[in-house]
Amino acid sequence: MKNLLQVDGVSKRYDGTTVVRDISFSLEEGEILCLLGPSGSGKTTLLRLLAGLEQPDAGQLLFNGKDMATTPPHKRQFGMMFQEYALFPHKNVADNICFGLEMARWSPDKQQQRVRDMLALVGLQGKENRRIDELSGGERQRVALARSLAPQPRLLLLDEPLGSLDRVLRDRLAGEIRSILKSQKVTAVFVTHDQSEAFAVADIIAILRQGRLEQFAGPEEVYRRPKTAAVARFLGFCNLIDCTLHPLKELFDQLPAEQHAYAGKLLIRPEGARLSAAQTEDSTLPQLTGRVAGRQFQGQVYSMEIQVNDLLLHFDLPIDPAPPKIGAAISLTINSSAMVPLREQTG
Amino acid sequence: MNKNRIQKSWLLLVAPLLFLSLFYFYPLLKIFFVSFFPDGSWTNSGLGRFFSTPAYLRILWFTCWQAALSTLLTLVVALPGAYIYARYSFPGKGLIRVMTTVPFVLPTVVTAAAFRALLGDGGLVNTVLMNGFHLPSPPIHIDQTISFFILAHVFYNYALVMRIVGGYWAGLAPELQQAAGMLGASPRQIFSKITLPLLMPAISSAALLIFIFCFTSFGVVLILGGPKYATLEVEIYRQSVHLFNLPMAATLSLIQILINFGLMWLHANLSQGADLSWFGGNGSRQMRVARTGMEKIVIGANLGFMTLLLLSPLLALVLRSLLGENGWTLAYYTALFTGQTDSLFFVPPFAAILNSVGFALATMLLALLLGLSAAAFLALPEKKGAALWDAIIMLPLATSAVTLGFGYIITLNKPPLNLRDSVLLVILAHTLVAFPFVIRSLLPSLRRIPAELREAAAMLGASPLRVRLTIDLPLLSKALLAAAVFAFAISMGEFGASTFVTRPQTPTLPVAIFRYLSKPGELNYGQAMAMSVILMLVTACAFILLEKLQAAKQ
Repeated sequence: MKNLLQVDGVSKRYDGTTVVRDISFSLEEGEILCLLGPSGSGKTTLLRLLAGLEQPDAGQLLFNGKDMATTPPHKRQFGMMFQEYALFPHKNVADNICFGLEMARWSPDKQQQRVRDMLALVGLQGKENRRIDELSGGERQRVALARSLAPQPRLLLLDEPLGSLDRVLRDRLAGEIRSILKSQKVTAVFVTHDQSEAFAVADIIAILRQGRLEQFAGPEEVYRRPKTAAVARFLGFCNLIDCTLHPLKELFDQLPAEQHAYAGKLLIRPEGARLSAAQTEDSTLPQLTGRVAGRQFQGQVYSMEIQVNDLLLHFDLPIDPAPPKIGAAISLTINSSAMVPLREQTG
Repeated sequence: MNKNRIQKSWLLLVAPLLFLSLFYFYPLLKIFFVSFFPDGSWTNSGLGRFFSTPAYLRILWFTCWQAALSTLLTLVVALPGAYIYARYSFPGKGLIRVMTTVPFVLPTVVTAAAFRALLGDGGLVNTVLMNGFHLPSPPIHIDQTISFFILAHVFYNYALVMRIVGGYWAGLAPELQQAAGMLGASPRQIFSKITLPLLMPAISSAALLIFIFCFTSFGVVLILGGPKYATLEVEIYRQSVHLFNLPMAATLSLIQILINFGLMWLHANLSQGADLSWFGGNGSRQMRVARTGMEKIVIGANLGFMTLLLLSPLLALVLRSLLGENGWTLAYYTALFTGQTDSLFFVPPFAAILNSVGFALATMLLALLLGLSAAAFLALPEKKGAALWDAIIMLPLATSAVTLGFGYIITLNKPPLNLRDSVLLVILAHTLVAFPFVIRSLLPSLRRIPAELREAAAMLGASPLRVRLTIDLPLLSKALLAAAVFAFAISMGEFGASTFVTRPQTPTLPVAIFRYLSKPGELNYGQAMAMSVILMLVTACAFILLEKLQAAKQ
């Protein structure tokens, strides 16, 4: 694998506010990178900087080791899929897909063949002569993907490509996009604010917050070990314990010795707990006791709220054995790997 | 809705249909009869004469090519303006936008007067040049030539391109151009393959409208072109008013009506589906601020050109109305109020102003009543055939004012409808011209009122009449005001039909301006300028009010 894209200390300001702050990372050929973050985190701006639609105020972008600063968008041979797809309303499906091939001066035969291949790839055979306004949302999304893939871009940029679709369609198409991108062996950067979409598509996830790169790692690593409290909060975790206010020794009935001294912020992932079976419990695992404050059956799990001292913790427990009712005492064993120390800030 | 209610709703259509039948379709039919049955028996000699006489064919040919040339020139000079309005933001943009639109709503006589004030033989530019370089005769001599009224056509229609094409352009998603760029298209390719094809509906719509306006151009050709040139419209006027050749005028009118209907039909088909609007597209999309020197030069050059083309004639008009042979004077204005014994038709201009205001108020009232009634009918939900009725009611829009005026004088001059010497004729003609505009102002607002509001009011105990008064009327108040202003302004500036239907003793302001412009003498000329300034101010104020109302609605 070779290093294809290198981003070095890139920053961008608009009207005095910095929307992208000193971001650096690199991407290898064939990888799918997902820029994940809430709205206003700078992810779309970063994507547009990669595309050359915006110019960075500082830092540089190297592609194959070459600085892209002076290369205008139409000479980069990058592909881009826009949020609302930006399909050309005056051209039909086939002509939209063919546009990039015409610009690259492919021979007519190769153009036709490529358009056929692309239609087959995204499952739109027989719809080549449809007008854009005759297509459903999902079909438009496929045309946009086929159009951006057709000229074999050196790098494919996707701006919230599933953003305007409904939930069910999103989940289905997210997996489909990944298999299409992988089958074409294309290197891609994908922008989304939806973590399940990011997990379904990406090889690597870059989490952005207020223009800063908070974490750059694989999906499992991001989920298992969020680097900062901000990342953990963005991923929806709520058991964030400030250990200076709530020393762990007071919280837990039993705690392995190496965690006694910890004094930063701690995340306990919700799926890392199970009911303690009193006699057979392994005394090396952390354990805590509390009172059930909330109990909701959700199908695969019970979502539990448990009051431990003055802290309210959330856990997802298996439905068998059924957890105690509201008001009852509860004793939990926590998996050590579900306890993740966090840094408050990046940098 | 029950059957009874459906039947009752047709009552709304009775008054507008009666009005249209008597004062639109009847005159139109009469034109047909005068052309084909001049003596009571069928003849197509009128058409035969038209097509066998080179002079008439030349007029038709001239009408076409001057319109085509005007359209082309307007597009060439106005498209760059449309571009900078669509893509850049700069200080004073809103104000300049309103200023550039004033020419479009200006009455034709005022336009003619303004161009004469600027570039006529005795105009401002010639006066300055003669004084500055001690020339014996005016160096610019374009009065009574084709160039003069074609220049006026460009002046008149510039805003049309800027607003229709510019508005549409501003609404084009910039992502489309960016997507083409990402697919490898250079800026030039993006323009030719994406932007231009996408703009075509707007450009062709604007071009066709300009062609229609110039094809039926009357006032500026008559005044600035002089006796040597005639469009069909001017020829109808000459044949009927000067030569009393009514059958020929009728034949010309028929040809004019047919061509006009064809063009309007073409336009309706072209603009179908495209979201073209006069008021919309004020730039919700991202606008750029000019950064590079080149951009600044392009914008500056365009704004400079706009000012020169659109503002200088109006300024010249104002200056000329205040400049006498011996310097600054208000003499022309004061003369408007004194009835000199040698003044034309013994009617002081002041009376013409009062006439016009009176006619305009009456027109406004009548057009509002008829328009509200018709619009209420068209806005009814689930009304079958609404589109057809809509088209029928809008037909007067596709008929030139001169044809209407001509139709009136051959129809309403004898029993059962002898209105020949009645001032009613003017009001009826103006109402007919204003009526379609009133409907177009009211209909969108009426249709926007959700049916649930009326149903909610009914469930709360309001009778149908109470619903109309307490729900529809307040929600419609701005649109009603806009429609009223529209009708008033149209009546104030109407010239084509008025030349036929006004009585010598009760001229309207535009007719009075025309008379004073055609007579020699410094005082007559100055008074024409003064009256034009007054008319210009009234129209401009009405238009600015309209703009404000529209802005407030959105």
